[in-house]
Amino acid sequence: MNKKSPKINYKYGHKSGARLLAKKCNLNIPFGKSCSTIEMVLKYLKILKDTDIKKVIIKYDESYGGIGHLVIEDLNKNNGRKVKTFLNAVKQNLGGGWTIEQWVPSKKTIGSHIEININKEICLSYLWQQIIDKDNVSYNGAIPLEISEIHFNQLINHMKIIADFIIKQGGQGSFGPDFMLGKNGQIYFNELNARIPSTAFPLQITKQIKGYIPKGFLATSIKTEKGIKFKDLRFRLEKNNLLYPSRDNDGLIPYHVGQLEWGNFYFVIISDSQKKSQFYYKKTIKLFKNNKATR
Amino acid sequence: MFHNKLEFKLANSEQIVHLGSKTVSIYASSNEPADFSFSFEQRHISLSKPGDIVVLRKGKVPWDYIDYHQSLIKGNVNVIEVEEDKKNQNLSLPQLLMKSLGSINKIKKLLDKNAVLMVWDSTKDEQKVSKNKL
Repeated sequence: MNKKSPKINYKYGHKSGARLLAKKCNLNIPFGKSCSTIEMVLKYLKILKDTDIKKVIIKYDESYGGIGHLVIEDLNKNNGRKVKTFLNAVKQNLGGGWTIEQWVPSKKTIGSHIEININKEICLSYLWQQIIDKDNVSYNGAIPLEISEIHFNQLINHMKIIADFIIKQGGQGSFGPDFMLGKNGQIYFNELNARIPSTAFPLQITKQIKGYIPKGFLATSIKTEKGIKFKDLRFRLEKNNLLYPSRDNDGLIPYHVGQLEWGNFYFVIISDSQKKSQFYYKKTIKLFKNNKATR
Repeated sequence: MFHNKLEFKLANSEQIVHLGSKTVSIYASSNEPADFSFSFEQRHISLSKPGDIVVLRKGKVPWDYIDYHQSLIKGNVNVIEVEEDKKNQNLSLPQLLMKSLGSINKIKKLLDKNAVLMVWDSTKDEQKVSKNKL
């Protein structure tokens, strides 16, 4: 939840708000609809059954990092029980509000960061590529963005349009619009995070320490033992030549270390080589016990 | 193609306190209370530069982490710890700082006299900034 721009967050900082924003800014989004009740969702799924659309995603309005999504592989199969169980569970635990969208095969999912100061000056801060889990939905980290100049310029244009729109609404502060590059070559707007995107922090840490964002930049988190102390973590990383600065003047910097109490180990790998950063990542996974990815 | 030509300007939204001609950054994640801020405050320490003044809740950030960070940035950060008790644990860091006169005096000693403290009140409105004369 964004605390700096509550009005923007309230209106546009969720899945159905993103559809509204896309409409107002004339941004490309997957075909779909926002539904406020379970009945509306079921009714809309029935309507979609009579179209060419086969695969859809149901997104809970307030979902974060891909949690609270349901992918329906084939609308023609009987998904009734699965859908109702999902919708009821979301409603009971989180509240209502969903968006149903046609599944668009993704080539890259892209995060970005915009800053708007009190003088209404816009800073397009960063663009990066999100690491998505095997489920094709859940967010697992970030790496440098590798796209064509054409797509890059399109993204910059989208970011400017969104920033101008936010200013017109009286908003300021940090915002993180998410995009997707579809396999069809089109850029889609996904959602507006009305807060500092979490990847902005490892990016800035890296920029500060290294002076630039190296090609082997990798920000992610893994699940480790709960309550591990930073000094123990540091000792193990140093012993294995993983902690930045390692002997090769690259390595891993832990951040967000308060989360260690809950067993969430956040780190950014700084290296000029993607191959080397993968090596560091795999070695870190091996070194820490519960290596299930976290968000 | 690799793009990293964009600049990150943390100051625009996170630079919460201005004292006279100098700037104090309270690296707070707005008004997240209790244990959530525990982790966020440590994340913000990671962004501080030599000479920065970072206001944190007392005991929330292990000093060995601050030491590690200082070794990376090759300089010292001025850490001011704000007392927190059961009565005020749900307050945001700026709110806590406002109530903690001792800490403000500490900042005042470090910086200009007769400074104006501006605290970003993130709980109310995105355009509202409160001012308090020290």
